[in-house]
Amino acid sequence: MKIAQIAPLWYAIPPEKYGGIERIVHFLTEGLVKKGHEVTLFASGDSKTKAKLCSVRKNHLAKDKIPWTDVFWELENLSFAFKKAKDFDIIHCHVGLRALFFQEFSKTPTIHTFHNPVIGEKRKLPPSLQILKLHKKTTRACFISKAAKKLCPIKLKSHVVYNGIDLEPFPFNPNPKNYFLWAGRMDPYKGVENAMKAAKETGAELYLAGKIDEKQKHYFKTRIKPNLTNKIKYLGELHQQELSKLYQGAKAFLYPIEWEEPFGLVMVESMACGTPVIAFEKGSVKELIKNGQNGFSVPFLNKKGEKNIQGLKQTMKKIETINRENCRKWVEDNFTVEKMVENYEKIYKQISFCR
Amino acid sequence: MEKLKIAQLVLPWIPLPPPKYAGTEWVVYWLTEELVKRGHKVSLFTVEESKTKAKKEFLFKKAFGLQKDVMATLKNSFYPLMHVANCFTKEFDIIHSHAQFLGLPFAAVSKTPSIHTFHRQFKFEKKDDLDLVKHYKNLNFTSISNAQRIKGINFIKTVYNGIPIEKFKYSKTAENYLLWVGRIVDKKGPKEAILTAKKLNLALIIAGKITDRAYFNKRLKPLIKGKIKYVGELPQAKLVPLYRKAKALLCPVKWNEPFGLTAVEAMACGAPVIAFKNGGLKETILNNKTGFLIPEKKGVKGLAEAVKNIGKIKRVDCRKRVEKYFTVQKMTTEYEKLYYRIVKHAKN
Repeated sequence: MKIAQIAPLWYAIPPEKYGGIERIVHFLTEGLVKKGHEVTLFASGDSKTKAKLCSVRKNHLAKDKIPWTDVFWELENLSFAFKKAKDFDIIHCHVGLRALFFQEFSKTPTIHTFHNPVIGEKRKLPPSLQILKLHKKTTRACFISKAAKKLCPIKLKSHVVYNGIDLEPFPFNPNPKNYFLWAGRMDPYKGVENAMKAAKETGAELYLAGKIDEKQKHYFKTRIKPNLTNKIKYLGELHQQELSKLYQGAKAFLYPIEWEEPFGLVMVESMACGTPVIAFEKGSVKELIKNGQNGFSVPFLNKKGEKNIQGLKQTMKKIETINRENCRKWVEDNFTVEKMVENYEKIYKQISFCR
Repeated sequence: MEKLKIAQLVLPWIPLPPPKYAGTEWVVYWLTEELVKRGHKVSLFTVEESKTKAKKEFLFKKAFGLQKDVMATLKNSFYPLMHVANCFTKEFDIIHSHAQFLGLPFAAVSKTPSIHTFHRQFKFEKKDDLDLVKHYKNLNFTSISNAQRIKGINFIKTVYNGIPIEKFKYSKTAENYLLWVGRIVDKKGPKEAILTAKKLNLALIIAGKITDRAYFNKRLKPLIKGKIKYVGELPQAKLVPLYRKAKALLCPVKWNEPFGLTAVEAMACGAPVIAFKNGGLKETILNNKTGFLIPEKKGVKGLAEAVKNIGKIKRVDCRKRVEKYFTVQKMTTEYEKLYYRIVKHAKN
């Protein structure tokens, strides 16, 4: 098939360091090329791909210090791609809601993966989702979990395709050390404090790893730093390789989140290394964890309506009952790049067939 | 000639006709109404509260208000782009976009041919922004003065703005005051106007909206006393009597003003214009005939010198120049010719 992938311009494809969306677009694009599709990637000029690269600008936006919110480059990228719409059997957009405008100008089937949560109350639709309402009839969406799909207040023609990871940097380790791990952005809703509390009360060792955004510096200083001990340590922001080592050695990965996580790549990465996940049952958690088999999905609140730290503690104590091989197998079967590419491919075929 | 299906697209900041002074919106309004009068099927993309004889197309009820930083607005809201995209997805013979940058990405993918009139200068803060506009260089652009043009953009014609001249009644006689009209910002030269009046001990009336309050308070307010009066932002109906009796309009703009509508309005009423020789004013004012074009470097002294010579200008010449070149009829005829040209070209 002739496939267009429209990527954000904020980072190059693949991204050097951060860029979750950019990395998924990279995997998908290369995977499709490998399967013999004729793929055109609309991304910044410093991207590297085996697909045909089409760029409206040389450098990715972050490199030129252009804020990612600069709307005009995004529009230009979309406009440029849709001008060539006739050349494609399918157009796959990864840039969010502004792409909806452009599907109205072409007959080529278009699909949008909403990598960021699309949330709002149906009765009081937020202004940011009026655009979705306006383009409801013509929109075909992909969500990255059933939970993410459910959160979208507007019912669309939609599919669910889980993100896939490259397994190579995340080798299986059957013999962990004696610590628990939390990793992610240092944000209150990522549940870092819940993990610390559970670790403290059980006397377990806990490592924390992750980025501290400018905005979260105060949070870290006031809520996290004072509670660090010789058993609960912050290791800073780690490269993938270092993080992978940490996953491998962990008894379990703690993810007691307090928000509707649309996917949660860290959970999959951890399980790939054989490390089970203990998470609060929010967002995609129920889909990513098979309770008792590759980790524990703990109800967020207890019967009294309090945060269920007790539940975390109980499951931490029986973590040895989980067979680490199950975790690995679960990822191999469901959350690999190959699987993701295959799933998208099926959808492309289905849509262009229905055309 | 067969009548056309025309869309006029204006950003949703201000309702039409504008309740107060707003150059761009007035011009679009006048153009729209005149096209309707000439029998075209015109759709005006605006907000619901606008009033027009054209078919009104809108997604939003109320105007959003003038935006200080359009870029920031677009980061936070999809509404302006929804408004613009809505126009380009519909079918017309031609779309005339006054939506500046916002129209370009959609025009590039739209089946309907379009022309783009920017009512601002083609000067950008970053080179990057200019590169961005140049991506769309093949779309049809018109300029509102030759001074507005830059290289690398496909300008197909200059069409000067026009005014409904019947609303700007000519006055043969004047009173002994000078006038300054516009948005009160430094680059439009209100301070130079005040200093000129003070130098000559003449009365000066300043009318316009204060958009830069800090500048006004610090630089102008201390000077506004005695014969210098600030009358606030006036609607057109109250502005016309001021134009009519003005000895001259001062337009000491210190930037590449793309057109300068006030100069044309003043001349229509018979008031000569004394301006710094910048931007569109070089094309609207005929030096020594309908006013004086003073090189900016001659400063206040140059302006004052010109005021002393104002008797040499015949007020009727000012009026005649506007009647000939800067009426709504003239502007509409020029755009109309362009529309036909582009529609014909698109069909072939």
